[in-house]
Amino acid sequence: MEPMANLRPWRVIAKREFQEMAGGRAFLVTTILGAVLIFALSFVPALIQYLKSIPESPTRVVTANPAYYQVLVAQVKAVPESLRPGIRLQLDKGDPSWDATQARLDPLVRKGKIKGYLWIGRGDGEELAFRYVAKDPGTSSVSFIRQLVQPLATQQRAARLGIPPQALAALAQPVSLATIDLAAQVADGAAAGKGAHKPSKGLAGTDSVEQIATQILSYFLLMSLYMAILLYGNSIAMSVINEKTSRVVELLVASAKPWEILLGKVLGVGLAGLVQFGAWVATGVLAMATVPAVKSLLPAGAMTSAAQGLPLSMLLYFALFFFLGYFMYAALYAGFTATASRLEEVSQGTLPITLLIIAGFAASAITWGAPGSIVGVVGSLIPFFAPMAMFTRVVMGTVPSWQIWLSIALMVLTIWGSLWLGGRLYRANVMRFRRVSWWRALH
Amino acid sequence: MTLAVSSVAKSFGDVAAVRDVSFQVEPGTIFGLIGPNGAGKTTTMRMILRILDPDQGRITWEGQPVTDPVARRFGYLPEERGLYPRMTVRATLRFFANLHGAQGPQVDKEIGAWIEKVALDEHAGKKIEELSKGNAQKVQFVAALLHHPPLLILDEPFSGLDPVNVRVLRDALQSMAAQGTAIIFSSHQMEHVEELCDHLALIDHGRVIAHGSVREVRQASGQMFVRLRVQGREEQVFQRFPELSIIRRGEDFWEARLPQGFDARRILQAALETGEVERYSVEPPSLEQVYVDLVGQPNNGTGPQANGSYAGYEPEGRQA
Repeated sequence: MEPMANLRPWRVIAKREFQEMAGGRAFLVTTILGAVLIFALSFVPALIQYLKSIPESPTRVVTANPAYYQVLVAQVKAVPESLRPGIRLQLDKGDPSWDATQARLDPLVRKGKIKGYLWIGRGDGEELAFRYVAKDPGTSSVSFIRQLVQPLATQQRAARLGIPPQALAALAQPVSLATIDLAAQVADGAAAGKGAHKPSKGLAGTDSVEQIATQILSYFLLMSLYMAILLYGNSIAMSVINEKTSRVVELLVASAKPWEILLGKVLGVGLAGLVQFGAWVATGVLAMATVPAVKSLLPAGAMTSAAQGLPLSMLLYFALFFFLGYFMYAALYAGFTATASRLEEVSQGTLPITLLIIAGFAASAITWGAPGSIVGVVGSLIPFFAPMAMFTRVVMGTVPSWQIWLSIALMVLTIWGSLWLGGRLYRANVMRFRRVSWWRALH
Repeated sequence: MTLAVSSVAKSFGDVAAVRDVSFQVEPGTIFGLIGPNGAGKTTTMRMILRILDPDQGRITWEGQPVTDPVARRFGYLPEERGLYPRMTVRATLRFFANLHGAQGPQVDKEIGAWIEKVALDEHAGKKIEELSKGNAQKVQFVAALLHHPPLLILDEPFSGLDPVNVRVLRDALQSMAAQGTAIIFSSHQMEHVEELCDHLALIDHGRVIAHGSVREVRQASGQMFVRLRVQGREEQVFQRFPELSIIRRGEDFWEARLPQGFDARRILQAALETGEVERYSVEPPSLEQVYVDLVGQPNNGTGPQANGSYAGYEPEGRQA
């Protein structure tokens, strides 16, 4: 007689695995501790910001020409506050000669009264000479100082060459490069030539808030998929291997097909992992949205405008690629572990998958720079890289829909294949009749 | 509702685990599989359950080859005991019932009834890891039959149980059979087989070397044994018949094999002359005697295919 639909063995097994993992006290404690930690960590950027806001001891500027000081101050102001390496300039009123400055300021630097000093004077010939004296000058402050004085040197050289300041400003104007994405316009069909029209897919030519929001989404997918897989892939591997030590497996094999056992485990443990992961992500988002110290880091209304700026299709793609990627890797973990018979062999067996994830990470990094490149297109079709690379392409530009469907089909095929093949191995190895390799299971 | 196993064979690499095994099990009867370790009993059971596919021969249920959905309805107690240590007794039983395709309030009711029947009431809410080995074994036993299997397969169901629990399980088996369930079980304890089985098969080296009802198997050799108790003076009686080989010198009785054509009444005569005869019987060999005669050494634990090579389970260190 045919069992009732909700009693398919894989569902019974999945339910048990979910309860086993999510029902334990350890799971609850880990989830709560993790959430507390994430909430606490969300204060870290605010803390850094606070530390940066504590006034630093000043850096003196020693020069015979106060106009130079004004130029430097203007330079500092041009740099966003969060990018300044804690440098506060102050004009020195004393004797600007090098020997007198050294005698007067070096003790102050040593005692920590001032952070350091920047001496501007005459060098050889007509050139300006710059000297920066500090205790433990970090590379960031040195390069910041170099960045500050560069315009002074340029101006002085220009003056010597007889270039008027207006001409110099004209020379320094950045080039304007108009970018027209034909792929976006083709996809848009009727709207050829009208850049303002929204393309149906991708974000080429759309406004910047939307673009930034989706780029953040792409990065978020990358990070969360990477973390979720590394966090819970091993749980699935453990569950598969534990079945051999629990010795219930002979009963499972008698009542369910091997692929059903693996599917049950992948779904049960995978969903339990997602519940925990979801709780943590929600905590993080909540912290960003509610804690004033954290909220102040973001530009006013960034959260709401990001949420409004995200097209629904992007969120759907996000969900699709996240779940496909998550369960594909879960299935791979289960399949690879099927050959291992002891706990110690698990990390060996799953090493190739970890390498695949890292490769997928790298592939999507390349895709970020060049969505339409051959590496990007091929990478986004290879199932192991597809969830990350294809989503990046979808976000970055227009992807022909056949490529999206092909990558989804290939991922589903990979899930099915690793469960089927893993199942055959599992049955053979679990009963320990003989060791069966991946290769032999194919025959 | 008959199980028919016809000339099945199964090899693992160079090792022939089962060479030629055939038998039938009718509904409502209990069938015993006996034989030394590694004789092929477990492999045969696994083939019936479709855990393994036979290399040759066929296994049918109601005349049709056994399919996966049919095998899923069979109940099974593997020799390899195992339950999930962190689940409660009740949750464990529900899980296995679901796994075999049974669910609903009726199942919960039966779980309660069985828990009572096998005296697990006070442990029903406990986790498996908190149970004694015997109680865990009873849980697994119940898990095998909760869904009313038409065929119940039990691999060494009584090993490791105390006499009280053996009795509980034995009664449960007999009531299942009375309700029409076909039951196959293997055992090394011949008294259980003699007591419970309608039919049995003795397997050695992957072949059936004796089969039939208990009575038929015992009588097959045509040999007879005399059992005697004469107030502790049995030796005096047997001294008068040097042609008899004595195979048992127990406090309760002595036993001797009778040569072909020997008139056993001569022994009774001698016994009556020696003292008060407390026990005298002439019987075919006990099942244990048949087993020893046919298989060789008692407790022949290391057959050529024993453990190791294909069924590398360690009987010790079982998880309760």
